[in-house]
Amino acid sequence: MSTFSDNPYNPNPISKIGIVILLGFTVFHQINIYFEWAIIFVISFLFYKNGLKNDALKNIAFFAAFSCLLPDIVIIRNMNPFIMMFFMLFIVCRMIYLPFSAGKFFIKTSDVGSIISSMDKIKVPQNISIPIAVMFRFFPSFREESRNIKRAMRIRGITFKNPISYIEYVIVPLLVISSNISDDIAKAAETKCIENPVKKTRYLSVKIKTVDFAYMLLMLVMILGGILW
Amino acid sequence: MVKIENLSLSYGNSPKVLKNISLRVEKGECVLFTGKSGSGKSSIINSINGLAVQYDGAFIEGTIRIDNKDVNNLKLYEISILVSSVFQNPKTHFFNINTTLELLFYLENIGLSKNQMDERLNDMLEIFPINHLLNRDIFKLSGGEKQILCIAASYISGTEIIVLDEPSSNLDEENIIIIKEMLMKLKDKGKTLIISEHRIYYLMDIIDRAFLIQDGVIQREYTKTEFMKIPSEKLNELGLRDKTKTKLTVPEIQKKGNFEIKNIEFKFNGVDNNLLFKDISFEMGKIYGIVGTNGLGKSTLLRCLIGCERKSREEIYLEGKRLSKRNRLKISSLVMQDVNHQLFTDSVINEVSLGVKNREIRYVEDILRKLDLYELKDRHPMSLSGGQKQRVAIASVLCKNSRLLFFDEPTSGMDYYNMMNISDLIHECKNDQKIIFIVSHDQEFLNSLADYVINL
Repeated sequence: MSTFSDNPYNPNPISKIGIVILLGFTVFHQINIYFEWAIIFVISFLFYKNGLKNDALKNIAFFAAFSCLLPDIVIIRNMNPFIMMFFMLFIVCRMIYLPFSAGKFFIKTSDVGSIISSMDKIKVPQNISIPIAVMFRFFPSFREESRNIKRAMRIRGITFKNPISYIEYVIVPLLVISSNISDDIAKAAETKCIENPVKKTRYLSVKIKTVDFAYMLLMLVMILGGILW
Repeated sequence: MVKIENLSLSYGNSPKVLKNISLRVEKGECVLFTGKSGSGKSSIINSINGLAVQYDGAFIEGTIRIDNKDVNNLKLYEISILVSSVFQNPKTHFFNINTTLELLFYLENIGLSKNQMDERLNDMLEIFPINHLLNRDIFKLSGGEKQILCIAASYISGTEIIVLDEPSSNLDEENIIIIKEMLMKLKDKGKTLIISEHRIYYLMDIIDRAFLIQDGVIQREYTKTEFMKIPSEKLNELGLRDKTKTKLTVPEIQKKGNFEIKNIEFKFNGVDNNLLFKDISFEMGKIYGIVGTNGLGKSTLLRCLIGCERKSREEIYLEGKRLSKRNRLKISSLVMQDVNHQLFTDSVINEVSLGVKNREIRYVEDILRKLDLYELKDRHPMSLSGGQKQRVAIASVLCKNSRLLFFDEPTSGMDYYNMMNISDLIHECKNDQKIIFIVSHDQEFLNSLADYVINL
């Protein structure tokens, strides 16, 4: 991950969060499939333009799998309860896919600095913006550490054959390490005077760019269109 | 100026970690706290920068004054305006993902204007030419680069006092030299440096005074000349590493043996230079050290050898038979640098018998006894101390009885005494059915243990 701040195709964190919330409505109100596809392509395009080519492809592939392979909800209702449970799980994934995808785009392309600056811009008080930034900073460390844990498990010969003990074995080290990570991040932030009450300055000011308008407008059109169609 | 008077420190109900410490550090001085692990030297550092009280829940008696302000009455950000800290593990030092933003983060928080930030940045680049580290992703820096960045950040913050807690413990020789030069420049700039460290050779040209800490008290204060006169054996007895740089005396690897690597190839993401490793063979019953500067791919090489790196291609033979990744995974064990990653179960005994088939309980218990863990066999591994955790990880590796044993930086941050313990332990694992690989930049450690080294 690097700073994407100078990339003209990287929207402002605020727009990105806004879109995630907007797309949240699609969970409750199914929209037309063609508009859904359009939304997926917009997000994939932005992934691609921000140098995340794999994610762009994955985004499309997963959505294709969900929307083409899953049987219709009416057919599922008449199935055997166990098979139904199995399919329902995927149905839920399918339902939250759009906001999930926009959320992933937000997390992968925003850095802590720009998130704090943009929250400053819309006057979010510090006791809200600091915890959000810390939470945000947690993900990349967490990803790195959980990779190490998985590796250790493979070497120890712990496999997914026994899912329950597998999950137990993942969770213990993950919890310990998560609490270490959050301590470290908080320490790093506090020794850098993050709680200093003076008026803070930002080296990079977060601008509202063309891409912000385009992203917001396209999404809004797509969602409204999808609902009204 | 830092003035400590009758400082005692304890965590909860356990015995005092520091007892009646009194000292003064003048402006522009460089002071070293040294002693064994657990002697309390890091606690002094952490009480000066306030982390001991405000993070680790320590209870303090006595006073610490920085520029006549009592640290006990200050908030953490108020202390941080007076003192910058460099931690032992640079991984834990960063808040931002982007290196430049990290350097500027402190300046943003004290409210400097953009012009002032640029000025400070340029001023810093003049003394520390680290342009190549700017605008990078922190997760893609090597350990050495991270520590260099931490020290640069402590300068750019403009505080007069810098405290450093074992800054060299995750670094190789080359980076230690860079750190040394950086510290010298800081001293020339009139900064007050307070360092806790047991690897001391690189500090010999910098320090003005040294305090030997034992069991939480100042055992003795030395001037620089007095400290230089202490003989090496005496230092090792005190748990300290040598005061001159150790040379690696282990011979380079010879080409014979029945674990043969015809080829290992690994492409790093987005970097041109790949990891290439060709026509080397290893002998059963030997211990091999893998050395090389931070960031050359030593850990990657380990993963390729073990067979848990998906993106690598390799051709490896054991006793004439070609081994696939899966074959190698079966016969390999790894002790990681951070053993928190590899403790999974709820008791020590379960931990060491996890994934071990057909082993008598007696055999397992014997191993626990040998590693001083038998008494702890029902404890939760995560409730143990760092050293004990590492021994549990080693015990589990021994129970699995793998033919290929791998250790990734087993001694980082260890004093002489603990290092020798680990060295003896690994020595006991050695037998003619096994090959042991150790990635390490600790030359004293490799000298005491390895049969051959491979230089990447």
